[in-house]
Amino acid sequence: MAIHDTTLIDNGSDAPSLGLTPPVLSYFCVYNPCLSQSEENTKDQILYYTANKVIPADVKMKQVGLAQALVSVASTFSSQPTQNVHSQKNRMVFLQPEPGFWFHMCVELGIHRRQIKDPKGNEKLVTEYLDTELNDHALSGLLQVAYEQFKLLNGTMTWMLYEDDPQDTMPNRQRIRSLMHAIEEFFSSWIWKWDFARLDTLLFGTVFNSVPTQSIHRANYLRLQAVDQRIHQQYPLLHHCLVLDDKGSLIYHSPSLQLLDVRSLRKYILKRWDAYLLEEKKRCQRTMEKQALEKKEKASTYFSKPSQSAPVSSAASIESTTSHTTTLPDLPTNESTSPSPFPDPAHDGEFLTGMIQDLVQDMNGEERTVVKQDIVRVYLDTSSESQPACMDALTEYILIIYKDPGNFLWSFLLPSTNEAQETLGDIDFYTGLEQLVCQPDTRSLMTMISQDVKNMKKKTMAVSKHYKCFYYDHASLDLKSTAVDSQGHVTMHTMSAYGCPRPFVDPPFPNDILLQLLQVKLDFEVSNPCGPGTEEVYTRSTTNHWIIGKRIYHQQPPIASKEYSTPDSDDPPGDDHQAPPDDSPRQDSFHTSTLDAGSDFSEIYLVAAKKDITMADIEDNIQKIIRSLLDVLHTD
Amino acid sequence: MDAVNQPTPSTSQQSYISTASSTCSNEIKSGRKISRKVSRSSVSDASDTHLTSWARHKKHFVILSSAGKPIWSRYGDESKLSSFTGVIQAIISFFQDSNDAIKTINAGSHKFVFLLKEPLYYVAISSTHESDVQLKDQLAYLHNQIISVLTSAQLTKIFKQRVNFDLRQLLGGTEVFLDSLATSFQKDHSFMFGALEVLRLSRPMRDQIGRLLAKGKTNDLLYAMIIARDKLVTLLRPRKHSLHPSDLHILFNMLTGSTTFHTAESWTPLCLPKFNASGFLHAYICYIEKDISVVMLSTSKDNFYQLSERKIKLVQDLDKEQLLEKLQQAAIKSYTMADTGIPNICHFMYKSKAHIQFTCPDYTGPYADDTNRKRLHRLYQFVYDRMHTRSRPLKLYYHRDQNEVILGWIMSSFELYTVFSHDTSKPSMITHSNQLLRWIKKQEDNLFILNSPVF
Repeated sequence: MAIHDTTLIDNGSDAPSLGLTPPVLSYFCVYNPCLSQSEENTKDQILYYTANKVIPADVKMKQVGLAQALVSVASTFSSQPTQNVHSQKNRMVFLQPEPGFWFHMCVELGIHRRQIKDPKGNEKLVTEYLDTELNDHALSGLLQVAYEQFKLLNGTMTWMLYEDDPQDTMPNRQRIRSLMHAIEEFFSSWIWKWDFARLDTLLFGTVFNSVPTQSIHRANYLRLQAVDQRIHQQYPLLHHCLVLDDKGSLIYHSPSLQLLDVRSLRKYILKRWDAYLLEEKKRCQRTMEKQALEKKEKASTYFSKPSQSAPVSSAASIESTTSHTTTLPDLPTNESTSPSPFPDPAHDGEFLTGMIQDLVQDMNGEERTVVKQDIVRVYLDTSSESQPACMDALTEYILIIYKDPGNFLWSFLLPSTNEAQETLGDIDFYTGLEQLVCQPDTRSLMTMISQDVKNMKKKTMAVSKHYKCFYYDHASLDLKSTAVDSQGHVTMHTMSAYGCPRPFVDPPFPNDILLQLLQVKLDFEVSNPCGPGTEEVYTRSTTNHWIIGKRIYHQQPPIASKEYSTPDSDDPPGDDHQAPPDDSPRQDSFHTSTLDAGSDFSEIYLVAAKKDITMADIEDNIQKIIRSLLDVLHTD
Repeated sequence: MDAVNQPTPSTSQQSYISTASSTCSNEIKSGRKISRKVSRSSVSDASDTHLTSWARHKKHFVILSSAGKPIWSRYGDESKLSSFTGVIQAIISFFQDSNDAIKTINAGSHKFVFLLKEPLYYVAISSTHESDVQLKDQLAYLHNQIISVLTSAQLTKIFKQRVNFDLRQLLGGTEVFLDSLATSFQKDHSFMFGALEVLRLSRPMRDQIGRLLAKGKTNDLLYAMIIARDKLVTLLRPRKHSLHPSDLHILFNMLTGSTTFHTAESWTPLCLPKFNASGFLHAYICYIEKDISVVMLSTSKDNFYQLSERKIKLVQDLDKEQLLEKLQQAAIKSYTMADTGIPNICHFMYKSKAHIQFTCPDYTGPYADDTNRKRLHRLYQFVYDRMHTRSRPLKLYYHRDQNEVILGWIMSSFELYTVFSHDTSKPSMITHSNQLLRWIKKQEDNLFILNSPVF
């Protein structure tokens, strides 16, 4: 039984008596009560277990037993399953992603210790458990996203255990073992990277769970679609296509792809992209070190000569010292101009999955490039009706990711058939595909698109000087933001890549503001008794920042003034917004992948940290801002 | 049922649940609780659907002892809930074993909130969307109600002697007050505000009544008050002692929660938890007119006749100046939005932080309708909670939906919640709220008790 408790994490027990201890994962497990049929083998129901310290088997059983007791008590009253349990020191989170299967984790709350004086003037140590800093929706969202990724890469757990067998029989051991193995492989590496203190990385990737989309000119969009069709004609095996920019924004996806699959695929592709970038960085560093070493060797031999041989010209020695002092500090920047043995990642196309080039060290320590197969299988919902629970609807595909010379990420999906397998074993397929993607007219199209991206960024910078806005469209899952980090990168890209948070210098917002923002979002939710039909919420905290939320319901007669209630963000901003919607293929695709009835709305959030501003002032401004925000977010 | 030493709580607890379903199904229809049960719960005849129908109530309160014995349940017969309370006790003790304490379970729209006051445990199970804090406050009121009957000293002593004690013997008859408290939380905002609602009355008349109440000297008298319905008219208190609002809420609940006091003079021991949780006071309660009562609290248990005489004199004095009649009229009709002369405002709640009192007009217009009024109540509860989150309090909260707009506004001296029609513009909301504040300032004398008589 692969139960893991070897991962040891310093949980801050040695923290200084005063200060802040961040929240940490205590344990995480996956279980299915149906897998144990009698009291003796209750441990059989645990498919995966990991904790931040060594946990005896009986304690594990108790934890899982308690989890089930809590779920069971709650089910007496509620038709919906237990989501979370708050205690003084911990938070337990539950998710039942498929009938009978439970993801369950326990997070130790952050701790704030401080010295206070009691009324008598005696110093007292106060320990405060930071329950309110840990948001339930962000935690549930995290488990949900984890499941979506697991399902993308493995299919459903029910299918893995039972396939076509009736589900009341015990699955065979082999299947249980391979499911346990899949879960372990999926979770063991990154579960300990979850950072519960960083709400910014959690919030936008999980609570909104969005697909940031890059608006491009309508004409460019149509040309890109023509490219997709041309590729499909040439290679009928490539069923679907997806294009992201290097920051992770969606540029294009085949209309045949479901939006929810696009969302999961995008996250996975970005994970691979991040891993690739990290590898590139390491490779560059190694090259630099090697060059530095070679130069050093050269220099030392050069210098050793004069010391050995008496006669030396003064000119030569001056030359040598100058060259020495100028080359060394310049090393890092020289690297790109000097002929490098490795392709510069910025200017070459490369496959990230499929048949890939990999660098290995041979027995002599020499690095060599080898070609190897890295086949990634994904499971997509290709049925047109949304049947999330129906496992039969999932189809196995092979995912090929190609980075083009302009750093756009092209992903292609092939049905997992013998024919596809054969094709993928043939290197000619890759060169042919690369040629097709890198045709001159496609290249020039991609250059124009990067210009679109740059223009948008510039406009964003102009607005974000004064206000931070988010625009979220529930039907298209698009999320746009004017929040930028200190390097001018629109931070939503950084924030939406789950599991691989790229730390940025300046988090756009402190957790405090994000929690307040999240509260405003929840004010619109149907689960809130005052939520349904809520159109507008203004809040001003005691620390004087305003957070304003507006939800625009597209299915109702426009209540807000028309210029900002039109759902034009769904639409790739045409040249004039006047293109009849029925000839917009992109909009059609969004309509087929609408999540559920009544979900056609957009939300706009605005954060203003201004002290001397009244609600009437804000109201005056917000109309202007929303108008200019929507204008800015488009690339016309 | 002692579940403390269960090695694997999972399986045994599941069996508890199933026992719970079978025993609860036989929920009895006899005994002293029949009347209140029939009035609120639909008693089903099909026995196996009984637990489900019991569980289907929107808001449960259950009190159990730390040994897992049921003490009181808002719905159903608590004696049939022992399996359920056993499970609850086992869960609580599981957390205690690891030096932790369970606070809340969230499952869909249901929320379980726990308040652990050894030797008693209080649990709320609610799908009313009230917040953790609000439900926990309500559990604390239930606890105060128990204390008011037993005192905390007595409670601790009993359970020290016998862990398995059946507290119901001692509570005998006072459960009606727990019942009425549980119902009041949904209707009466004074619990949420932690403030008193005062009868609007002209200042001279209130002062006059206060003077008459203060007339004469009775040894050991601590507090005296006149209450019209559940609104305070005036309060006589010692110079050095004020009365905590939550103690007054417990007292008001006694008056409204049972008809016992309506018919005759009563003399009953009573503990006011905030005043002194370990000892009893003695309360003289008498309705001097329909809806109007006099309450006098004394430290001596032998004061009944003196206080009764004092009441007779008071009624004579009030009658002489026709104050009783006027008071009754004031109690019947408080005031409406029309009285303020401010257009556009549909309703409001105002709390004076300094006086811990709040005021609101009668429900008129759209809110005369039951459905609308309930929605408004929920909205007030929601906005109040939104603004009072301990970690992230708000100064201002504006919320617009398809029905109405509400503006919550908290300053150092007041809290104001104003409701407007859906299409009101923000500048006009601000203007009218300011107008309302001026009206309240002018009416302050009548709306609130600014100086209660002291001795």
